[in-house]
Amino acid sequence: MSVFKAVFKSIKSTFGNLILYFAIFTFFGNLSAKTIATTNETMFKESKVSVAIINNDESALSNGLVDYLKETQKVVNPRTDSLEDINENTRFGIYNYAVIIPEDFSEKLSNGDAENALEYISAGASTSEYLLTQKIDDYLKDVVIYLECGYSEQEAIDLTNKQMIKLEETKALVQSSTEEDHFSFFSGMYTFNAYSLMMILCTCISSALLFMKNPDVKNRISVSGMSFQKRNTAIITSVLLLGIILTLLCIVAVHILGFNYSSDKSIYYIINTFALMLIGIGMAYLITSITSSENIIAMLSNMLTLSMCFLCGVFVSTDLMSASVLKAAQFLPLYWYVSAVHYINDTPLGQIWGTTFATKISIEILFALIFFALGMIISRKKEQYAV
Amino acid sequence: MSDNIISISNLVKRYGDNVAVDHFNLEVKNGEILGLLGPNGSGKTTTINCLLSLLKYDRGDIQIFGKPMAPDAYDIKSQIGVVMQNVAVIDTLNVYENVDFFCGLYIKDKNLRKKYVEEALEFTGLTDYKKYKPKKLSGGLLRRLNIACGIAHKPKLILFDEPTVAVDPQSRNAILEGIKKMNRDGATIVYTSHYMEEVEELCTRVVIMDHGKNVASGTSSELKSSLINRETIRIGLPNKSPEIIADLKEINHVYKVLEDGNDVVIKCDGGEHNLVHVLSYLSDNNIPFGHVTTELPTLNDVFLEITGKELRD
Amino acid sequence: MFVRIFLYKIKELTRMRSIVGWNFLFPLVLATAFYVGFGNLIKEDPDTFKTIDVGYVNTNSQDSPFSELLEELSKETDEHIQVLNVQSFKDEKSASKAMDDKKISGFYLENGDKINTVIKENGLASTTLNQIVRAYENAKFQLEEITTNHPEKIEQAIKLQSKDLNLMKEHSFGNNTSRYLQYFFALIAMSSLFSSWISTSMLNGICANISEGGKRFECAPANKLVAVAAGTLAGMLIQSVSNAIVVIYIQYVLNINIGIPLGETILITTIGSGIGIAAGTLIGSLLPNPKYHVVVPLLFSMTCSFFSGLMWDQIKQLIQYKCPIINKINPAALITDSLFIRATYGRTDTYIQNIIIMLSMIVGCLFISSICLRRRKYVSL
Repeated sequence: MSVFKAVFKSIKSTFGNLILYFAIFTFFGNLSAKTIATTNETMFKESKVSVAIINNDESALSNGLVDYLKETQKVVNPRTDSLEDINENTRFGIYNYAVIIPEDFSEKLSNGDAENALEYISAGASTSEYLLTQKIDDYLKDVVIYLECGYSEQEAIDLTNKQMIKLEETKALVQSSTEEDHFSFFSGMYTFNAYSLMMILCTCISSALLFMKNPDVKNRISVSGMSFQKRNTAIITSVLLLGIILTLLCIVAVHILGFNYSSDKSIYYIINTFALMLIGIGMAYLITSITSSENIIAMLSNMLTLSMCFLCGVFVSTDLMSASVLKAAQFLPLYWYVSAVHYINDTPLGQIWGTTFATKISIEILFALIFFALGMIISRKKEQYAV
Repeated sequence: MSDNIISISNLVKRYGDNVAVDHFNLEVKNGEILGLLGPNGSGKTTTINCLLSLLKYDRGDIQIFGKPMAPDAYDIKSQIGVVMQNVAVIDTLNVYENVDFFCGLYIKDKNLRKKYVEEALEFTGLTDYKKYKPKKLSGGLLRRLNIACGIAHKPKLILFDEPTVAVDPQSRNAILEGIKKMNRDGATIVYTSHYMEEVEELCTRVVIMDHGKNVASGTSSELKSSLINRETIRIGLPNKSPEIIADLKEINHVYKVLEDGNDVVIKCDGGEHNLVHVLSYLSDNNIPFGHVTTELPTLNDVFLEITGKELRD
Repeated sequence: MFVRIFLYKIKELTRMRSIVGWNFLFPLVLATAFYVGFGNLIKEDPDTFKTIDVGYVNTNSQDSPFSELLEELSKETDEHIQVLNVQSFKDEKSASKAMDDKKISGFYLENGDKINTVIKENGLASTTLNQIVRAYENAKFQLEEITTNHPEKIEQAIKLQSKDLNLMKEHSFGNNTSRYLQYFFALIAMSSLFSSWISTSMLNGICANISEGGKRFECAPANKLVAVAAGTLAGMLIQSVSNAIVVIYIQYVLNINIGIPLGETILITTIGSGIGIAAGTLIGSLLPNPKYHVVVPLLFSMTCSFFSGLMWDQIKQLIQYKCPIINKINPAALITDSLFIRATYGRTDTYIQNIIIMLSMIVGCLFISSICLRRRKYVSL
């Protein structure tokens, strides 16, 4: 019991790190999961592009355009006059589009010299850029044509607006889609969990294992009345229990943050997360067998975990990676964890439990065993050569 | 001009409610080896740290080489060498580099410094270990490195703060011999320890500290002569009886007889040939006896008599 | 004295395995991981327009103006954009199956005058498909309106409708830096802040309240602030070299164009190193307990790096949008921002402002540290 208690007390020094990674998980994970989550919808919903407007004209024509955009898109406050800042905001997705209405906008339109009457800023030739450019172009073209055809400014604005309202009735038909066509909040959170849980496990489990590796502690315990079997059982049990507690903390956090969302698939996510826990414990064991320096352990944990996360689709979607990278990533344990998360997301509830899911979980467990075995080999060799 | 290298008067240092140094006075004369003896927590290291102007103290006056000591008294500091209680070296520098670095804080001349460093390494027996990093050294060698770093610049005053803690006997003897040699070469030494044997062997004068106070000072002989007990005879007497004990008490210069299991402990206050008298009594009366040991008083006895406790409590 | 301590500190610090690992190796490994993971995204921007695969079912016996429109949209424009990739289907069922099999995003069903758009899910692609139909119908409505009220202008209206009026122009900034380069800039910023534990390690051998070596140092006739200055400079040099190696590795080995002249990149990263060193000196002087000398700088570096976009490139810009002052006090964000702005827009006012703030941070931290470190007598050791 004393060995058991000692292991738990030994992780006191890692509380700072624990809180940091947990905070990162709850803050960043939550934010990014909410951003990428999509939901099941059966009605056509027009995608609104977030657009910032800088209106230097303030004429009836420019205000007409602004009103149109306010009704049909998501108009946001640019919060800056600097074109560079606006460009950065579009490039990083704060908003997708920015419209800059120059001072001579209405004059140009009225004079029939409408070429380049309006400026816009967007992040490259994206779908949202194309869509909104087309919409604004269609609107302005309507106004210009009406003006050219003898209508007054107000008539042109009114008619164009009337047309746009009428066109709202033209809607696409959504064929029934299932939950599996969407990326859930839980999938997002559990994907991000790959980083935070791995770091939490590596930090805490390494600390506990280091404590037991300390020669004075080891010698003191080995000369005590405790048998080898009892001692090792206590160590293994305490490390596993520690891992379970930390994993449960993360799982509970996910479900508290996602209480607005429903998921019948939680059990599968949880199974997958416990498989990740084994990987984390295995990796911690491997790292502590390589070195006893806390500094170097922290460095190796960060290096390995961060690198794996970037290569296995935790921070950057696997859709954006090349095929060769994805193939190579299959040799990394986090690839299989993320793949399992995606599988759970994309598969109907009744069909998840099967060969595919079992294979992915088994591979994760296999990686954990490999790490553990490697750790044992290294420790043995180090003892043999008195390194 | 005063012959005192160090002069501490009325030093008081408190840590909250705990008075670590309590109106402590000390004078160290030029050329002597002063032993500062006391149990753990008596205030020895605190006194040393105050002396070196590392610690703020509440009251008192400290002078070294006749001048007040201060953190920026570089002229005084340049003549002091310190051997810390804990090993104070830089782990990533090797033995030579450690000594060179610390010596370089005192000696600016490159050639002179090089000479001093080589001499310090030879003096401490570390010449063969120049390229070793501290991690690769044994405890004893590490202590020697600690000493080399403190004395390489040939200071006039050297403070040793328990330098032989956890050191093997061979290294300890080497260290003590080295200290004696440094003293012969002109250095004044202050040596703190709770090992009375070292202090008795090494020091020309001893100050005993307890609870931050100076409870006794003088040479070893002076301190011991202040004791009532001058000799302790221990005899194994399996057949002792009250009559025998009473008779032993009657022997000249015996002032106390104690029973300790099968042994009898006889304390004598002065006199010569006490052992002969006791053995004569026993053989004259055909009283069988076993082992016989005789001990002269130690500083521990001095401490025990003054404070009522052992030095290594 | 200054030079001696400077040289010895370089020796001491470069032999620390943890410093070599964290400050030299870690950034290189992470840069490689970034490159392997998404280096291609920097060269080929994934936010490009993706041609929409769409089906077309025409139940009428002949081609309609709408099918001509679809044909037009299937051609590549001058900007090399092909809006649609149209596949014809004989009936609604086969088109629906193709949509379920994810071969098309949706399909048009033309039946008489009516054009229906059928989609699988909502999104930009489906909105675009719907918008095409709306634009088609809009043109019809307009012509109807002009025919009714200004019939004399109908020819002109038809002419204008078929013409590209070039009403909108995209504002060009010249050099467009990929947003994925932000990760590399955040990596460089993180690496710079790692120098904070170089300075806490450096203080180890100088302050009596931190280590025994520091005690020995403070007993010596050596000016503490001179020693701290020498140690600080040694740390900065080490970190600057480390950053330069990372920058050269990214630029010349990984072949990722940072977009800034090498000298200026190294200058910005050197200033970044200075912030790390100064921050570490401040942490070391405020928290003498050695057990905090790795944990606190690590927490500081990682927290600042996270908020500068190390794991999620959007976060820095989000903060800039909602609460820009935070970016101005986050040293990692300042370093990242300076690199990004210099690469994209050149030496703007914001760039100069960032540099000034960073230099002020260095001076401020060192000033406060010097006040704390001036102390040579301690209450307890």
